[in-house]
Amino acid sequence: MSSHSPQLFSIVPGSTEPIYRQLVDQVRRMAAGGQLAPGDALPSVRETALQLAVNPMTVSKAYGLLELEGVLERRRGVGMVVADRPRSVSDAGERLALLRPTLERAAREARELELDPDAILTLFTQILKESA
Amino acid sequence: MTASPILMRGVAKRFGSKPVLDGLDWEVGPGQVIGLLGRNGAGKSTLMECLLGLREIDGGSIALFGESPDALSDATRARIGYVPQKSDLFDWMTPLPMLDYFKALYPRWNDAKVEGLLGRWGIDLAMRNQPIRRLSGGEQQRLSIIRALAHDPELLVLDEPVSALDPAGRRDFLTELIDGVIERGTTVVFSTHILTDLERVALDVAFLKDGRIVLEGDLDDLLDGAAGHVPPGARVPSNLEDLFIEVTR
Amino acid sequence: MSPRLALYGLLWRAALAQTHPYAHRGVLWLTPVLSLVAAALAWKMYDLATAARWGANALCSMVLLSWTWGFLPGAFKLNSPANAQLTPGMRGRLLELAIMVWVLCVAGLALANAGSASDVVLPVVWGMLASLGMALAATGSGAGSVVVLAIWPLMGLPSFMPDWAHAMMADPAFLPLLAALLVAPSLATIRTIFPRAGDRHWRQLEKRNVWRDKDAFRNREDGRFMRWWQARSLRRASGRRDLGIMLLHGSGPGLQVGGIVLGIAGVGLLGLLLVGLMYLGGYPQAAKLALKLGWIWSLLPLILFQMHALLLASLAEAPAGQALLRLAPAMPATAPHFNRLLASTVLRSSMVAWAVAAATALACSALTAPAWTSC
Repeated sequence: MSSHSPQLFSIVPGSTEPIYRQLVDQVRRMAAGGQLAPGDALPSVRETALQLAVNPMTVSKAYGLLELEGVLERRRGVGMVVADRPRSVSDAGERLALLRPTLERAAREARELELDPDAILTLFTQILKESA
Repeated sequence: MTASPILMRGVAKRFGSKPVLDGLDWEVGPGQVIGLLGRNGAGKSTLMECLLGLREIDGGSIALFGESPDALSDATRARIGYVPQKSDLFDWMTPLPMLDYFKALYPRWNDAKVEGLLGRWGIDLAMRNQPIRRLSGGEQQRLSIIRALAHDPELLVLDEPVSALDPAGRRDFLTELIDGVIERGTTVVFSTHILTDLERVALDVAFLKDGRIVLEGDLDDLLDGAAGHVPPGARVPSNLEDLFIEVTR
Repeated sequence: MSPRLALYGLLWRAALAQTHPYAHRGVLWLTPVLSLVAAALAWKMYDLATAARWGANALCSMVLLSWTWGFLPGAFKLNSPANAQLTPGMRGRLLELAIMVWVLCVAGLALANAGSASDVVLPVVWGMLASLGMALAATGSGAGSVVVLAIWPLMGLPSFMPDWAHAMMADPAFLPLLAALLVAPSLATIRTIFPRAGDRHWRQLEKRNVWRDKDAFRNREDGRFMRWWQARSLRRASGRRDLGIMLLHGSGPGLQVGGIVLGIAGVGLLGLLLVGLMYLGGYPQAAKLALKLGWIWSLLPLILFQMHALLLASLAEAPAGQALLRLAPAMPATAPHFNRLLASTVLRSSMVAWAVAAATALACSALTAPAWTSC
């Protein structure tokens, strides 16, 4: 049950992803991956906005969307906390779905390099083994 | 119901025979933070000057908080802050007397904020006794921004306010904008070429082209529906920079 | 035409164009016309020799004038540190051109007037020295301005010079000798005007200089006293909420009446002091000197007022800050009211300045008038 500083987040302006969506994706990944444990308090909208130098409404929009999805919930006196979702709900399928955007980007690059799918899969397996 | 901060209808402005603004309609609501984008020479500065009554218009009507810009009441002018593009105004004065001069002209003046900003933004004591002419371009711009923020305006009009600032200075400016200006519900209109800054703080953008606002709206929505804003067959913009280039082509 | 001459022509035109867009055309047409007119007039009134002399004088003086006021300021601007250092040969050519023109003019003047009576020779000498002095002043050195001011009275003092001086000046060898003597100082001066990059060059650029840059007077940096005085008057105007004076303060440096009045009063007092000292000193010629110089000194307040008036007149050219003042709540809301406030303040302050200038001028001339000096 820890509270996190706003340095948790990072955004890249000028990319194809709007800033609010970058935040939403980050929180989703961190909640699914465990860096944000259920019950952890997120930094306030104002703190995050000041740290990232973005409009507070953008942060608010991201938090609001995450609340609707059920990833976050609002708790009186504390602010936004990570919702208690049983681990089984965020099953492998859902977590796999979170990886999709990154893999799609990698596939795009692979197509540009005109690489053989088997070679790519071998490389990917090797990388996974290295980082394990 | 309170009047919109900015309401422009059919505004026309010509320089000689060349039309700069041509039947321009624009409305900015209270609390909006809107970026004004356009190519060099599109007329952004002219639009802001006409808006504030600093230039006469050749047609149409403008209402600032419901009043016509050529006869703004004292109360309304006290609610407006303006950072012009030229930052070397009053360059023969030294910074503190210049701020005192404006303090005498405005009913409300936030001394604490001014002192805080002077300190945080590095306009230190050594520089304070030099005429503004001797300060660097970045320091002059920072001073210009402080002067505009000092009376806690409700409408802030910024004409390329950070063009001479280094990235740290721009970050300081954005932080102050978020903390001291947007949090208070101020309406902000600003034009800049630094699109990454705009993406951070502006929720809406308006594109000025051929003397009118050809596209405006929520930034995220515009990017989502970007395909609809460009001619068929053109590349679909994926970020603000591409959208800018395509829309103002 | 050799490429070198073409280059000289190009540089001359470019330098004049920096000073004023029509300067070159004006000089090109006026110089021969005026020279011919002067020659024709002299031929009508006197003889061919005098006509030739007048023509040559007119020609050389006009070229020297355009050299001092047209070419030098523009050439200085052309010789920016980047150009001086990086553009091949440009600085060298500018130096050569400047020296050549000066030497030719001075030689022309010397030869045309050699052996004339001293009352002709004296203005020629003055012209040569003045051109060098002004060139020196263009480098920003105070010495130049001092030289120019010091030799000004030379114009009014032929009767004070002893006879041997008159005889010397009437000698045919005098002028050419003087011209030859001045070549070395002129070389030195012109090399200082066209520095070759380096810190000295930047320092020279920083010193805003009235001779070179017509905006310099408007943008000059006042000394500590004037700044203190202006800050004080601004504080007082702010305290009193005198909108007109505040508007004037915001429209440009040094527009307020306080500074100019102080200047004029200072000049008047100085004149008074000088006259008093001369009398006290018991100098026998004091009365005659006062008579001769009095009118020159009395003109100074009016000249100062003229400079102040020109400054005020240039208000319209630099309205940059007035945008922010229009948006200030305390100022008048509508453009007509704003303009009326500014205009009435300018009128009021300039009338005060004029009154002071006129009074000082009249007082100075009255004090050095024959009625006083004869007693």
